Order: sequence, then structure tokens, then C-alpha cells
Amino acid sequence: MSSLDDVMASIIGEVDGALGCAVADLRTGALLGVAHRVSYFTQEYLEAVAAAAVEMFRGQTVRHVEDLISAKRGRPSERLIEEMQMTTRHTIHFMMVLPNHPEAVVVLITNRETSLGMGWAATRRSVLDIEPILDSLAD
Amino acid sequence: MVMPPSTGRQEAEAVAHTASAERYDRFVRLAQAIFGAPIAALNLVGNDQQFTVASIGFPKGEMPVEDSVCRATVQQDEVLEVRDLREDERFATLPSVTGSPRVRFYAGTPVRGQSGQNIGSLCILDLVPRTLGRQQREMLADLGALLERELAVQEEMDLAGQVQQLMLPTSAPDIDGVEIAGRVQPAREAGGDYYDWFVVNDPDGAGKQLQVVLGDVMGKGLAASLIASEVRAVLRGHSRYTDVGDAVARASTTTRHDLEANNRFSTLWVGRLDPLTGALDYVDAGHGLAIIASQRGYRRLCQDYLPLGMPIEDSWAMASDVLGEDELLVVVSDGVFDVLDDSFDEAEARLPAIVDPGLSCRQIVDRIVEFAVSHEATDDVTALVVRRTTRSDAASSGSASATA
Amino acid sequence: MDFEEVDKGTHVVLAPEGKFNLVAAPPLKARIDDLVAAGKARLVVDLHAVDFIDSSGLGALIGGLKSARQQGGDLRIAAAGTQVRAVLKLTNLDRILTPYDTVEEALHGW
Repeated sequence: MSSLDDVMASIIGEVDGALGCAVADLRTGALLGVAHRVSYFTQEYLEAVAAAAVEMFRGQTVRHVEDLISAKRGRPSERLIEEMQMTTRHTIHFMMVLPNHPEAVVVLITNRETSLGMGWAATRRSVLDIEPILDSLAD
Repeated sequence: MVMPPSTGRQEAEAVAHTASAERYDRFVRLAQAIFGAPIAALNLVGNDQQFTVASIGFPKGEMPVEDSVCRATVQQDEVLEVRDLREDERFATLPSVTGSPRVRFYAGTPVRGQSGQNIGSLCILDLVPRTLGRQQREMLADLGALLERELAVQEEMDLAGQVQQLMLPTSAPDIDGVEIAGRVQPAREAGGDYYDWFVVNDPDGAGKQLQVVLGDVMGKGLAASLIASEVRAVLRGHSRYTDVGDAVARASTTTRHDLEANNRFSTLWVGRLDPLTGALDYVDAGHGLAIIASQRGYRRLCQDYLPLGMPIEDSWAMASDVLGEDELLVVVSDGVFDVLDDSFDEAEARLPAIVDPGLSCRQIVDRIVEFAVSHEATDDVTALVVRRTTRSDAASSGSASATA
Repeated sequence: MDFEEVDKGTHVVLAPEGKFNLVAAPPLKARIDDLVAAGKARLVVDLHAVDFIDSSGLGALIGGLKSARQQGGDLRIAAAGTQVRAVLKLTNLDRILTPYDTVEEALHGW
């Protein structure tokens, strides 16, 4: 079975405009797998991106909103955010919690020319290759 | 005989085997981009198998129809949407749901074919449960409608090409002492090149003669093929009662209006051979690509006349030559000449490969056409070859291949 | 196929470039028709930059010639290259479209 790094590399190979791809642990911010095409995406930068993703999905204020809305619906508190898309001056970030591994998030980063639909299609499809590896890591 | 398919399942199988994937890849790609779906496919549903002819995120190929979701889609007229395949008893046990890729969500729009029945489905799938709203369902149906139109146009064109090929002579002409073969490879499904042969009675009462024709209507595709059909039929009609010169002149007059109305012209080479003597009368209306060839060399059978459909009217008078017993009459269309850089010297250099007495006319025709095709001819390509057979050979062995 | 157009007052020179084929022919023919309809029926088609012509290209030239003559003008060709001359000779269309060597020669009488 290929490593997560290999899977990340194949994803950026198939998406037009892809710059980088990573899987991060939402509990610790650790980078579980990464591949990129940009020389200034140093390890330090990527770890900062992973930490930001953790903040966006699991930050205190976000959790608070999720708790409030769960309460209003009369449900136990749960993590509701599944996907997030962020557009910056030069990039688009497609971020998705792995459906069967809610402790992990995949982030695909592309330039501004990438089709939104194609970016999401590739991000969602990455589940097929990422989850089996996470399954085996959990054993 | 060409028959339209009678059921959706049969049509699906026919289309699956002729479909060129690139044409349908674009619909699958658009579906994927519009819906952000990890998997998108165009599936054709046959009697026993489902054919995935275009797809992203799923392998192309066949699967047993019992394992497909689209078999249900083709039985209705609107989008079939399943939020979670695991919770639908129709699909919960399918291999693609219980095993790789473990799909959960499906939405497919039925695609109708020429038979008037649904032949398959354009579908999207996801790995998590999902619902499309009304607007997204409509967009999927819109894509399906565009695809139906594309399929219809392609099926019409394929049919036109088949009809055109079936109109070419395939059996040996009813005349002794001659061997003949011809072949057309149109650039598209149908085209403006054609050949013809038929027996005429010599108006001077000297016996039967073989008339051979090669025509090339300006342009390519369906429009050119319609004009070609007309010229062919008109020339046949006029050839019964007069000599070749007069036949071409009358054909020109009859077809003038339609050629001019369509801004087209047609070159034409018409020959009439007496197999017993080898006497060959011919008219060259702007074609210029007919030769008599042998191991001794070649000579062109050309004249100064214009093609049919020109603003100036010619009066065609026939010329005469003799086809010797060891000679070949070879007529080709300009699609072949283009591959030879429109050079007679180039053509002459290639002659030894075809003037081999050990080759049948069929083999020579195939060599010429395949040579042009393998050298990336972009135009319609046609070759016609005639040889006299001596009395000791088998009597008229004509052969034709009407292949596309 | 692109083409340049220069209106010289007494006549218009059109200079197509590249492959004069099924795709390129209709727009050039359409332009010729527009020019003739606007009263500019003396046309020279300078073929020096055309490396390939097929039956559709020939059809466009012949059709243009017909339109121009119907309005009392003419369409002449100039500077045809080897392939174009070969095709004109093969089809005998050089009887109708005289291949002049230069645009100047094609202007005789105008």
C-alpha cells in the first residue's frame, strides 16, 4: 500500500492547478501526509497550515457555535462542520473531514484557475485512497 | 440490410460498440465539475451487460446488468436519485455499495436513443449520502438532454455512412473478361467520393461494355455525399443510351442547377471498356487521376475539361485508348494524390508496388487505400482498379469492398 | 485561416494565409460576397502565403469569381505556390482562374 505522501502526490498530479495536498490530525495538528509543488512550502509553513486547519475546524469559537446549534436542535453536542472552502488572493483551499475518520482532515491547495467543481470532486474522491491507509494506521 | 434498432437494449449495445469515448468524456467531465462529484459516468444498459463508455473515478468497461444502478434509471423518464444506496433495498447489496468504491449517493438521468427508448444513463455518485435539490436535478437532466442530441446526431451520421457504403457496387459486373475492385474510405462517416461500375450495351450494337466511374464532390461529410448520390444516379440514367461524352454532357446539364445552388462542383472520370478488345473510351471532367499502368511505366488518361458545376459550360468529347492485357486501369481520388504531395513523380515511384501481376485488383485497391490512410490522409480516399482477364483465367472475377 | 485585406480603391486585395481548406473557405467566401454586395467587385486573391488548397478552397474561389462577374467585376488569383498550381492544373481550373505570378500582373485592365 502506498504511503499517504504517495497518495497526496497522485492527487496533485491529477488536479489542474494543484499546488499542494496534505492530511492533518485534527487532534494534534500533526501532518500525516503531504506533497507539494511550491519551493517555499517549507515544513514550517505546512505545519502552520495544518495548525490553522485545526483552528478552523476545531477552534474554540467554532466549537461553541456547534454546541449552541446542537442545543437549539435538542441534540447532543457534535462536530458538524464537514467541508470548508477558502479562497485567498492566490489560492483556493478545499478542506474536508474524512467521513469515516473524523479525527483527520484532507486539504487540497490549488491556484485560482482550478474549477471549483473539479477541486471538490478530487478532494471527495481522495477518501478512497486515504481512508484505507488511516484504517491500517489505527490497527 | 440496415435496420434501425428495435429496442433500447439492442441500441445500447450497438452504440456501446461504436461509441468513441472522447466524444462522451466531455459530458462526464462537465457533470463532475457541476456537481463536485467524485464519480461520474455514462452507462449504456444492454440486455446482459452495462457498458461504462465514459467515466471519471470509475473504470470503463462492462459489468453484469444486475449489478448496476442505471438499470433502474432507464426504466423511468426522470432523474433517479438515491440519497443513500445502503438504505435502498433495491441497491443495498450491489458490489459497488458493499465493496469498493462503497458508493452511497447516486443520481442519474435517463438518456433516450434513436429507438425512442432509454438506452442508458448519465450519472454521478458520491461516497457520502447526499441530496440534489430541484435545481441540481434539472441541471443533470439538462446535461442528459444535450447528450441525447449528440448521440442522435452521431447515430444519424453513422447511418448515412452505412447507407452510402451499401450503395457502392459490391458484386462482379455481369460481363466476361474483366476483373475489377474499388474501395472508398471517407474522411468522415459519409463523404463526397464515390465509384461506380455497371454494364452498358454499346449504342452501336457491338456488344456489352463495362462503364467505370470515379466521382469526387467538393467538400466532405454528409452534404457532399448527398450531392454524390445525385450525380451517380443521374450519370447512370444517362449512360444507357449514349456514348460517354454525351452521357457526361447530359449529366452536367441535369445536375447543374443543384450543384450551383449548393456552391459545389464535382470532378468525374468515366471510362467505358470493351473487355474483348481493350478499347477504352473515356471522359475526364477535371479529375486528372486516371492512369494505365504496367511494368513498362504509365500514361495518364486526362483531358482539359472542367469539373461539373462550373460557371463555364464545356462540351465533353470522349477520348480513346486501349487497355492492354498486361495493363491496369487505376483511378484514384485526390485524397490519395495529396498524400503523395500532389506529385506525379512521387506517384510514379510508388507504382512498382502495385503493378505486380501476382496481385489481385482487390489487393491493389487495398494497398492504395491503406497507404493513403496510414500516411494520414485528411480527405476522402478512393481507388478503383480494372484489369482484363484472358480467356484462360476464370471469367469475370469482380470484387469490391465497401468498407469504411 | 486569417486573411489580410487591402482596399486599393479600384480593387481589393485579399491575402489568405495557411491552409485554404474546408474550415478556412467559408469565411473567405463570405467576405468576398460582402465585398461584392458593397459594390467592390474587382478582387485579387494573393495566394503567396497559402501552402495548401483543397476542393473547398477551389470552390470558394470559383464561387467568388461567379459573384464578382455577376456584378460586372472579376476575381483573379496571384502568386500561387507549387501545391496550389498543381491542384489548379489537375482539375483544369487554371482555365478559369489564371494563375498570375504577381498581384501587379493580375491587375491588367483595371
